[in-house]
Amino acid sequence: MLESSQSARLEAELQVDLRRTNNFLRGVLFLFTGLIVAASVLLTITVFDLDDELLLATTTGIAGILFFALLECLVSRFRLYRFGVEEAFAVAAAVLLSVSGAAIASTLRGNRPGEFPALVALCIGALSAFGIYRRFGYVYAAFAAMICAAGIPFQMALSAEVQRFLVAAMLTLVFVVVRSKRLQNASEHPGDEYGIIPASAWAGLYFVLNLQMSFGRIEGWFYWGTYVMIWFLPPYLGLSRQPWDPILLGIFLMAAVITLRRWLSKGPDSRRYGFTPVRLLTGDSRLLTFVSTASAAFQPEVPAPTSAPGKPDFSGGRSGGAGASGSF
Amino acid sequence: MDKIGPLCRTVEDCAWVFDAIRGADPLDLAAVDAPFRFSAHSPINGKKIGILRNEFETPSDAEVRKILADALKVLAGLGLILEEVYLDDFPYQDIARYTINVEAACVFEPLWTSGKIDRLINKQRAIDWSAARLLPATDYLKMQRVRAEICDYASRLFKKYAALVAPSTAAPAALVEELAAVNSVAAAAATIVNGNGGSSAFGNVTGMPAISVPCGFTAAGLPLGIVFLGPAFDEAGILRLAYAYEQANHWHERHPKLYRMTILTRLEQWKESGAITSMQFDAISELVRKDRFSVFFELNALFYLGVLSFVAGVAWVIQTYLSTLGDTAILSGLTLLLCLSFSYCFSRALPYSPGQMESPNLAFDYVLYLGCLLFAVELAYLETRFHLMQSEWDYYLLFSSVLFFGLAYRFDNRFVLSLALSTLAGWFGLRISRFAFSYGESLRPYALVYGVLVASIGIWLHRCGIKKHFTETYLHIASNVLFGALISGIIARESPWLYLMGLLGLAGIATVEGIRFRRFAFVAYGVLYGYIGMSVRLLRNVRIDSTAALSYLIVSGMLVILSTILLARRFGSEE
Repeated sequence: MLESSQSARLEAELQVDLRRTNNFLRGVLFLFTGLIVAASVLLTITVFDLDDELLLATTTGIAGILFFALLECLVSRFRLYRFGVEEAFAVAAAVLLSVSGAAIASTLRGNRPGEFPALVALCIGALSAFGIYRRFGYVYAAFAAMICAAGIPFQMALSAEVQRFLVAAMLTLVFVVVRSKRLQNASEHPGDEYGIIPASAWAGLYFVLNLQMSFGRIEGWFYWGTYVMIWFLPPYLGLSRQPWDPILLGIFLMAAVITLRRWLSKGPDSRRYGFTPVRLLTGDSRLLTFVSTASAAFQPEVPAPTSAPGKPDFSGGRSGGAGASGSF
Repeated sequence: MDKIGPLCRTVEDCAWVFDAIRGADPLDLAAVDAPFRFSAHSPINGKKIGILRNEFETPSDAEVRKILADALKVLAGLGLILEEVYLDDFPYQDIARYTINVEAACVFEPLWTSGKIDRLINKQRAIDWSAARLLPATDYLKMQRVRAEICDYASRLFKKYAALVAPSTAAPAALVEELAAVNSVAAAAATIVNGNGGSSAFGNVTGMPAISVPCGFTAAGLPLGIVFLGPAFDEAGILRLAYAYEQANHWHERHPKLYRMTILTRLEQWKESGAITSMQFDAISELVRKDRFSVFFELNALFYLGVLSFVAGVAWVIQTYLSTLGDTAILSGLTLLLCLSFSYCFSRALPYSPGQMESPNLAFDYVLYLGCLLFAVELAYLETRFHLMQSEWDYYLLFSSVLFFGLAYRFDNRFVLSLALSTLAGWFGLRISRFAFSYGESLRPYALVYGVLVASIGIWLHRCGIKKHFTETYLHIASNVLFGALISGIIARESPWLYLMGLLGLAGIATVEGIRFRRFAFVAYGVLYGYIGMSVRLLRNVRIDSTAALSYLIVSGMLVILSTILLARRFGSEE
């Protein structure tokens, strides 16, 4: 869409005072910062021999707050943006605060049985991840918040139906709220990010209502009630599996793709409702290159070396065959 | 002659800042430490205000005149006594302009002595100040005598009035673009409200304090202001009057609509400036608005999954119904599918080119991939059933690999190339898909040979100019196999230092060449694998939760981060 000379000129105009890096170095920085964070916390625990739960909770809590402060400092003062380091601090802060909460809950609980520590950990995890998302805009923090929040009802002494209903209600709320925000920011940042979150909420809704797919098995009115919310898989999942199922799925996928592509291509300017099967951006090709290289992991199964069956050893017939033997 | 003062959102803020900056200054002998007591609530009722009537009547725009008239009504509503005043006819503007220019010529004299006056961006300033250097001293003295008369006149005037009020300018504020288009003299002239310079020049010449506050906005949203001029050292007095006026309306709470830079507005700017063409604007803005959304990747991914699922299903059916279907049906079916796939590809293929080729259609690449996978299934079936090669079965892999390489290059298919490379790995006895660093002792040399061979072939073909875009696939696979093999060698008991040296050497090469060719995935490989290998060796006999091991992880991790940050800072977000 742009000449390279144009691209260079326009890119120069788009320079911002944020410190950014490419995804590979970002990944390296994230991993090593995570390593340092984990090692630092473990070292503190080892050096001070913190085997008491309350001390452990205090240490991890302080560490969580410290890493959150570092994150804030790195972002606001050093202007790091998706740089890996500050993201590792964000993850560490959320995890450590959750661990701290779980440890405190464990001391409060005493010897009583129950899921109280897990409940507290999930609540703190959801809140801290949501806070991090609101403050710094990491989409994966929003996912983490959703997952933690979705786990909360399962730690409560509620019936399975109520648990699932609560999770579904929460995900529906996320879907509705974020989708409305997305519509407000359709063509502008963070419109695309707002698109990912409701899509995940929708997938989560599918998962939590599709009782055959998620853990546990519930039958009765609730299961059948969820039928209206789901499409192809539940009836299939209720049937017995057949070896040709993957063939049918493969044919269905290939036929669907070909049909869809032809239908889109025949639209005016090779598009319908804004969708086009044509490659528009170089990024699409790069992604496909990555997938094709990674496909080397799908090494075709090869037959294991087998020895050919030896000649049948009839050892000479004794009961017929006119005295025929193996050599015959 | 300059009057220094704060520029703030509200009158009260101005009072705070003024209180902070006022007073004697050892570096400025003209500054005096006069008292300042501002009270926002001191009474103003009954104070007499002089309205410079000429200036209120000068604006020709009816909208402006109405806004100014409304401002006077508000002042009257505050309990102030408004009286019309006409300033005596002195050359306020000329005195102000020439005195300021002479002062500037004096202060900036080093610009002439150094010859830098020509480098001033505002050429009018250079002309004015140069002309001021030629002003006869007699004329300057005469001006100052008249100025003294004006000051005396002003003192008498302010004995009668607490303040004089006039429009800040005769016209609304100009747009930035318009101001940039005219020189400063023309811009200043546009604001002069009468022939002798008006209130601003009067205030400058006399050095009396003044404050300007907003008094309304035109329909176009441009602000107008009124100015309060007060007697010498009575800043508190005019601040009080301005505060009362400000509180009687809400003009000071309005601010320009914040300009939200969006992708589309930026694109429009680029189009207007000619940075992009209208066609480019249309194409890009379509994408931004999501009027055109490509599902190219999604369709490809689904097709790929469809092929994998289909082949998996075929293999499962054969395994399950081997005895029911029989060899003839299975082999006939597989051969038929195979022939159909390959004949489709050969019939639709474009002529061979050593460069990158576009596929004739979406299905083409995947039909070829399907054919290759079915070929592998058929070979596996043949060997399982008929043991044709028996202990030499692995030559199937070599043969398949050669075939897949040929097809990958003929049809420019990276999926088939990856298949060829993984099949070749199989011939070497390696399983790429298995995520394990511990290659068996006997396989490690083969893994090293495989890695070197693949990398060499990739580089050689690149140098020959044959399918250069395949090179990265070769190098990614070779790098991972080589690094994995070297790490497994470090873990092993035999000559680990040799493997460590090899690993560090390879990590160095990957990092340096990755930076050189801007392929940061290889930099990441070098850093990660190098670190893992070295750490495995160094922490071999140390418990991972010991103080020494944890300290090592912290210190070494920091070193890695520092060096990576240096790299990241150098290359920014360059991919």
